[in-house]
This record gives sequence, structure tokens and C-alpha cells, in this order.
Amino acid sequence: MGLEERIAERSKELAEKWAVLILGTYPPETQAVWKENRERFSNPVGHAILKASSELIPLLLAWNDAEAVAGALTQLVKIRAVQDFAPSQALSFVFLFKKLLRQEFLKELSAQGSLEELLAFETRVDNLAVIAFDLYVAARDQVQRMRVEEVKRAHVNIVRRANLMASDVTARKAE
Amino acid sequence: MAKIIKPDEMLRSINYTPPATDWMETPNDLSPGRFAYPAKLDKMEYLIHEIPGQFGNPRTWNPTDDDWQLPPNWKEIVVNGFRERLDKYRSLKIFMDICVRCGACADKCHFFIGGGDPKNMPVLRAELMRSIYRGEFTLAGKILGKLTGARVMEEDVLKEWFLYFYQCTECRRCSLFCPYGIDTAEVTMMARELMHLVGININWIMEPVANCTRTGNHLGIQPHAFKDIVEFMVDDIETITGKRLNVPLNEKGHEVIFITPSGDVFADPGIYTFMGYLMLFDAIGLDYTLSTYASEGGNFGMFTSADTMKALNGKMYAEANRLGAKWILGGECGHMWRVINQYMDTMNGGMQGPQMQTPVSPITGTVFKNAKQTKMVHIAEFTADLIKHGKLNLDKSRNSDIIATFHDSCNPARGMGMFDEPRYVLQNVVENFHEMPLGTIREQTFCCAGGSGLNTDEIMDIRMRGGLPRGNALKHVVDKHGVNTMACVCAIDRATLIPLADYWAPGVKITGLHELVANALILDGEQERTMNLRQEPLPGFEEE
Amino acid sequence: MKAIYSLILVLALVVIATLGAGAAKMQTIFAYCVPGTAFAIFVIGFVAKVIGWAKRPVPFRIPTTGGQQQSLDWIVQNKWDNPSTGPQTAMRMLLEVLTFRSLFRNTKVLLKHDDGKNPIVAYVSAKWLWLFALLFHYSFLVIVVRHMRLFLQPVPQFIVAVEFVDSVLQIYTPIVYQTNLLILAGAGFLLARRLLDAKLRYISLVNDYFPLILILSIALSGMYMRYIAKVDVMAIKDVVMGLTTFKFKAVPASIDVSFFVHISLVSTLLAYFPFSKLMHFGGVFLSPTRNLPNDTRMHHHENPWNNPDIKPHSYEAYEDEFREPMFEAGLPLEKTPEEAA
Repeated sequence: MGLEERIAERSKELAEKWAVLILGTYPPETQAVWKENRERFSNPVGHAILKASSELIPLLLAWNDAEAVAGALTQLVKIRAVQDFAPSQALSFVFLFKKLLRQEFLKELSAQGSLEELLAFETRVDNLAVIAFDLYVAARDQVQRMRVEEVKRAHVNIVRRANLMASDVTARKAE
Repeated sequence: MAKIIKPDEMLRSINYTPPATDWMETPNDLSPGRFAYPAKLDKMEYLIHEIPGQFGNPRTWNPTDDDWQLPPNWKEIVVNGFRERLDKYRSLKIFMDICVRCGACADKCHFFIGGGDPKNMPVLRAELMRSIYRGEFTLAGKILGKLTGARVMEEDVLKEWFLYFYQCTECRRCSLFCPYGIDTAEVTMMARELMHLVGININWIMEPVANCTRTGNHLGIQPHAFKDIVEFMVDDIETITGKRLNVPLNEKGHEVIFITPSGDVFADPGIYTFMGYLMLFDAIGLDYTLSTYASEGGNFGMFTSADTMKALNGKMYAEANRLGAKWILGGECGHMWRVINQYMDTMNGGMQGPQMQTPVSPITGTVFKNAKQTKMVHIAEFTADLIKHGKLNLDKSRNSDIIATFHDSCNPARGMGMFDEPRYVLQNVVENFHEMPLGTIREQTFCCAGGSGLNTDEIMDIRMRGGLPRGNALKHVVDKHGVNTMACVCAIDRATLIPLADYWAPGVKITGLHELVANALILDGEQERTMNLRQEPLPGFEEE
Repeated sequence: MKAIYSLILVLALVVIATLGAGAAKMQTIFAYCVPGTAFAIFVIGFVAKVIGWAKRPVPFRIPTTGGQQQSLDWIVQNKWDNPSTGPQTAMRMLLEVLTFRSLFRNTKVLLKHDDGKNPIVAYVSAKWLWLFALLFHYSFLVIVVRHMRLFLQPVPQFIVAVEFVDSVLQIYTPIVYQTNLLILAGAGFLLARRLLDAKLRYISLVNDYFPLILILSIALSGMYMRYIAKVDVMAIKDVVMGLTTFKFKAVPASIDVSFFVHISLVSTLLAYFPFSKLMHFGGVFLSPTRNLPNDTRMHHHENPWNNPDIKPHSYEAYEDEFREPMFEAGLPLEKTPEEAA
């Protein structure tokens, strides 16, 4: 049985383990709350983590739909983009899947002499990281854009009045 | 074969797992983005003069500096201020004494749910203060110290307070679930009062407080400019309806004075709600005036101190008296209504002039008995009554492109209990309405994460993570019902929910309730409407 | 660690009582002096604390509103969660105190899928805390009521009835009271939560573990007396009656040392009570977010320290500052610029 089949077979278990690793990036008491409660509305972060890890594994196996991959990554990347993380920490969750793969399969594959299989699959995870990077930067850009737009919206009528004043001034000059 | 480096060996160098220290030992992280900017010196100097006894130590300072330039006796000031408030507020004393740390509140705060910082658990936020209470005021705490969760006031504690009491939106969601009704909003208000005594403050609150005091609105716009801006909106209404409305400003002898947050006058999309009010008043022929002096319904004093709240709120009665209004109609605003419902009469009821009377709707004759003491009616109550009596000519189909949901704002929800009035109005002006999931609406509503003066852009990250619970519930109805509009009755919401929706549930428009009312409302003698209040084409007129 | 400190503290108390009353023969002290003093501390401390709260003013009426307000006649008010009158508020308090209504609210929302795989929103309750808290507190109450038989002669019918109901299962001899088991379950759950749930472990203090371990030890020592040591209840009643009527007699030798352990632990609880979070029992009645009606738009609420000197920035000052531009803009004025000049 090849690596991909084995991942597919254990995809649910691996998704859980990956989620646990991702939760490990939060303070321990927070992990406890988020681990035990997987409900979307009262625990959106825990829910998003498990959802991402469960959706991404089949997508990595199929590896034919970049858009779907991005879709599965979006919510979690957006969440981590606004949580108190450095960019490297925010995106570390992708590499935690590599950690998991090596933890689960490295010894075995190494013994069988079929390490290339793992390396090949890891390339997909690397690509996943690059997609996540795009999404992360987009999210950060959006936050900055929203800041600017918010300030503009707050003063929309003030600016309008200022412009009116300006036109008055030019009108007077024209006289 | 060469050893393959494990990915976490690389990651370990970035240290992605925070240290598992007890909360008292966890150091303060005061990096930019984690706090709102401190108040400007000139605003504080003005306020110290204007509202005495609230503010100390005016200076230019920066939270990222090690030295916050506190007065030498700052500890004494804070501890004495704490003691004084323990004697002035039964609430504070009881909340300090009786928490059993049952944990019911721990996962109820939107900042904790979205961000995961344990100090944002309401119980721990209150412990930041309770630990000082034990350490400074109880015998056991003084003797046993940390064992009983006690500590004494230190500069780091003050910095911690600054970080976390400005990460509480005073939304009271935790208080709902507490078996003893312990209200973190109350604790936060006290902590902020204490910080003000030694000059710890944020500009986004203090500048509006100073501006509202002086000019009557949060941006410091002077009266003549205010008038121009109202005229713009009258122009826009004319463009949309073909009708030119007369909007009285500072006029004496009208029955009603209308007061709404000044954000509705200056900020998109509040301005459409403001236009909605004006159109409603025209449709029913209400005898009203606006005031430039009392043009701010919102009260950032509430986020500052009780006395500041009182000073700002007093303008409402002062102006009603001066203009001879019989009662006050209040616009859509969140914390403004907590102030009116729970503080206004207690603080300033004595200012009411003899001309003020129990509000009666001049259109329907309904007596607002629930407002007989404050003489102030919420516009959602007022409009619901109009619709119930069939006094409004409404054409829902103008809103037929709207699939709406309703966001309960924290203060009208948990500091007032206004749930069914706005829903009744909304369901009479839109064709499609869907609630967000239970547990995220009504009294359990999630905050926009920008309340209590935290709606400033420099903490957008904090707001976004705090907004996740609301955004997530919104996304659910977007996916399930195609919701494209979220209505609300709060000016802060109208500002903060836009980025929140943009980030978590893209494609949802934020509107005030009365924007939607005015879209559907048929005015006498209006031209055929082809556009909504935002001057976007109405359904059926898209091609033009 | 905090839990271990608490455990050590309680064990120390047990050892002191065992040695003191057993080996050192200081029965009189442990039968009369310790509980008498503890009771006095409890009563005085409790009353002083409640008075301390009660005499502090309630400057503002700040109920947390948990339902629809009273407004227009045709809008149905949620009277229990958003009361606007005294009786409605009393109802809210009763529900809060007797049924722990706020804890009951602790619901969770869950996204499930129906048969057609469409997402539906479902609700599951997170009611374990509520259930065990309720079990714990009611068991405690029943046990306290049952113990009243030791203080009253003749034993009132009411207490006999409570005992009858509590032992209705008729298992074991002496018959097991259900509340004995329930209080162990309740307190055990509350303790286990604190130890096992990382979130709670993080927020828990010695002040949280100590009373729980103390109460568990009281329950266990009591059960030991009844089911294992089978102590001489009549002799104990003599001692207790002596204590309550101030007719102190020599302590009968037939009383097992476990009684002294039990009564020392109870004394500790009594003396500790007024200085601890256990005062939530008194505080819940005074909590301003629960015990006040949401009615300050209808009725005046007086703040005793309301400061009349805090006034708004006056209109006169405002007009003085902006009179010129207001005049030019045609806004009505109290004084025209000429009049003001």
C-alpha cells in the first residue's frame, strides 16, 4: 500500500491529530476550552481548525483543485492572521502537517526504502504553505485597507463639506 | 542517508507555543496593535478644566515606553480611589467578594472566543482587579498573598489593566451567564475610572468626550458646519424623493426634540439612517427640532467615568428645557440607550423642566408609560407603534432585493431589553428576514467588538478576532439563506460591523433600521422612486 | 499544587481534632469551646458582612436584562428575565436562588446535519455544572435541616418528614440518606472539574479548593460516624443540646473521636465562611444586576451621592464660543452678536 492510500485510509485520524497540533500553538488553558468544544457558534476557532484539517487532507490527496485548497484554508488563515501571532507563527500550522507525516510514516517508509514517496507528498504540503502565504498576505492587506476605509467613512460628510468650501473658494476667485 | 530535519525543529526556533506560566507571571505584551493610542494632551487639559476630579496627570506618553510617567504617588491615588469606589458602589464590593470562579463565564466573551488569550476570560479579567482587592484590602490576602490569589498594586499591574480593561467592550454577555450576576462591564468601568486618575486613557474615547463637551458632537464640528451637513442630507433626500424637507435646528416651541448619535450625521452609512429619520418625521408631520448643542446622543462618558457620563448626558435635559420640548425622541444608538435606560434619570432627572411631560405619540395617541420618568422614547418603540396603528404608508417591494438579518446591539439587549420592537419594524419594511442562530442573538447576542470606545482602527486586529463570533453566525445565514443585509440599531455597529462583515462574511451590507424604513416609506407628494437612500437603483430600475 | 495545599490544610485539621479530643483528652474544648466560638464567628461575621454590603449604596439601577422589556402594550414582556416591578423581580430572584437559572442558561449551539445533509442548527445543553451545583446545594440544605433534629427537642414533624423522604430508598443499615451520596457526587464533580478542566485549573485558587475539600471531608466524617463508627447519637444530642441551651455537661466517654473530627471540621467551615467566597450565599440576594427591576425610565431611582456640581457644559458657554458663525449660518440665538457685545 502506497503512502497516499495509507493517508487516505487514516485521513480522519490524521485530521484529528493535525488539529491537536494546531491547537498546541495556543495557551494551554485555551487549548482545553477549544479542544472540548467543537461547536461552530460558541467555539468558532476550534471548529475552524478541525474543519480545515479534515477538508485539506482529501484535497492534498486529490491535488487537482487549487481553488478548493484555498477555500479550505481561508477561514483558518484569516483567523490566525488577526490573532496575536507573528506571520511565521500564524502559518506554522501548515508545517505541522509535515511534522505529523514524518512522525507517522518516516520510520516505516525509510525501512521500506520508499522515502521518495514522502518527499513527493511533502512537496504538496510546501505548496499548501505557499497558498496559505498568499491568503495570509491578502488578509493582512484587507485589514489595513479596512482601517483606511473606516476612517474615510467616518468623515464622509466632513470631507463633503470641505470640498464644498473649496469650490466656494474657487468660485470667488473666478469672479 | 542524511538526517531529515523535522519541520518542528525549524519552528521551535520561532517558539510558537507560549510559555505555560501562571497568569500573574505572564508578562505584558505592549507591542503596537495591542492597544489603542493614548489621549492627546490638549484634550486632557481641556477636560481636566471642564469636568473636574476625573482626570489626573496630563502629559504626552507612549504605552510602548517603559516609563509611563506616572505621578510619584500614583499607587496611593489608585488604591485610595479603589477604596472610595468600594464604598460608593455595592456592585463593586459584592463583585469583588462573591465570585466562586465556577467558570460559567469563561467562554462567553467574544474576545476570548476569537482570540484565545486567557486574560480575556471574564473571570480572569475581573481577577486582575480582584487580586488587588485581596492584596490591598483583605487580611487573608495581605498575609497569604499569591496563595489566595492576592497581589499588590505595581506598575506592571497598571499596564495589564490598560491592556485588558481596554479589551472589554462592556457588553455584559458574561453577566448574563453568571449565577450571581457579576458584571464585568461594571468592573471595567471602575478600573477605567481608576486609570483616569493617574492619566492612563485612550484617545479614541477622550477626544470624543472633549469634543462632545465643547461642540456637542464627537468630531468637534462647529454649529454652522453642522447645519451645512444636515442641508446636504436634505439635498440628497430631494434628489431621491423630489421633496425638499424642512429640518428645524435649535428652534424653540416644538413638541419634541430629537437626539441621535452624531455619527449618524457624519459617517457612512449612518447618514442614510439619519436621512431615514428626517423622512419619517416628514411623513407623519412630527413637530420636532434638532439641536446642534445637544447633537450627540452617544455618550463616551459612559466609557470614562460616572461623572463624565453625567456631564455629557445633562445636555439632553438642558436643551429640552431651553427649547421648551415636552419630551425627547432618541435615535438608534447602543450605549446611548443604556445610559438613558439605566442612568439618565438617576443622574440628571432633577434637571427636567416643568414643561416636560410623559411622552405621547402625537400621531397615534399612544402614551409611552414605560418612559414616564425619563420622558425619552426610543425611535424603534415610536416607529413600531406607528406601524401597528397603520400610520405609515409602506412599500416593502422597494426593499425586495434585501435579505435581512438583525444584529442585537449589546446595550439595548442586555441593558434595556429591546428585542421585539426593532424586529417588528424590520419585518414590516423588508420582505425577507432571517434570524441568526439562537445563542448568538437577542440577550445572548455577540458584540461587534468595537463597543465601549474600542472602535478605533489601530486595534483592527483585536476587533477582528473579537468579531469572529458575530461574523461566524452571520456567515451561517449568508450561506444558508443568502442574507445580504444586516440591520442594527447602533451607530457604533454601523461603523464597526462593516469591516467585521467584510472580513468574516463578505458581501453583507450594514444598515440602520430607519434606512430600511425610509426606503419603504411613501411620502406625500414624492416623485416615483428609482433609487434607494444610497442612490443605488431600486429593484426594477437597475438598467437606468 | 493549590489543591494539595488545601488537602494538607484539611488533613491537618483532622489530625488536630483526633489528637486533641482523642489522645489529649480535651473533649470539652472540642465539644463546646471550638464549635461555640466558631458559631459566634459565623453569625457575627456573616451579619457584619451582609450589613457591610447592605449599607453601601446602590447608585444606579443596573439589572442585566435577559429578555424583552416592558414597552408597548402589544409587545409581550419577558417578566422573569426583564422584570419591571417588585413582584416580577422577586420572581426573578426566586428562580435565580432556587433553580440557578443563569447557570441553566449555559446552552451551546451546535451545527448538525439533517437526513438530507442540510445543515441545521441544534442546541445541546452544557448543563452539567448546573445539575451538579444544584445537587450539591440542595443536598447540603437537606443535610443541614436533618441535623436540626440534634438541636431541637421535641423533633419537629417537618424534620422527620425530610428524613423520611431522604431515606425513602431504604437501603443498608443504618438506612442511607440519598443526600449523603448526592453531596459526595455534587462536591466530587465540582472538585473534579477544577482539577481536570485546564481552564478551571487556571482560574482556581486555594480559596476554591479548600472549601470543597473541607465540605467533602465533613460529609465523609459524618458518614463514617453513622455507618462505620455507629456513634452514640443520643449522647451526641445531649452534648449538642447542652451547647445550644448553655447547660454544659461533662462529655460522655461513649462518644467516638470521629464526632470531634466532624465537629472541628464543621467549626472550621463556620468560622471560615464569612471571610470567603462562600458568602455568595448572602451576596446573591444583593447583586444589583439581578435584584432590581429594569424600571428607571418609569420610576426615579435615587443615588445618595449624586453630585449636583457636575453639570453639562452650558448652552450659554457654547453660544458664547460659536455665536458669530451661528449667526452667519442663520441658526436661532439667545443673544445676537450685537446684544452679546
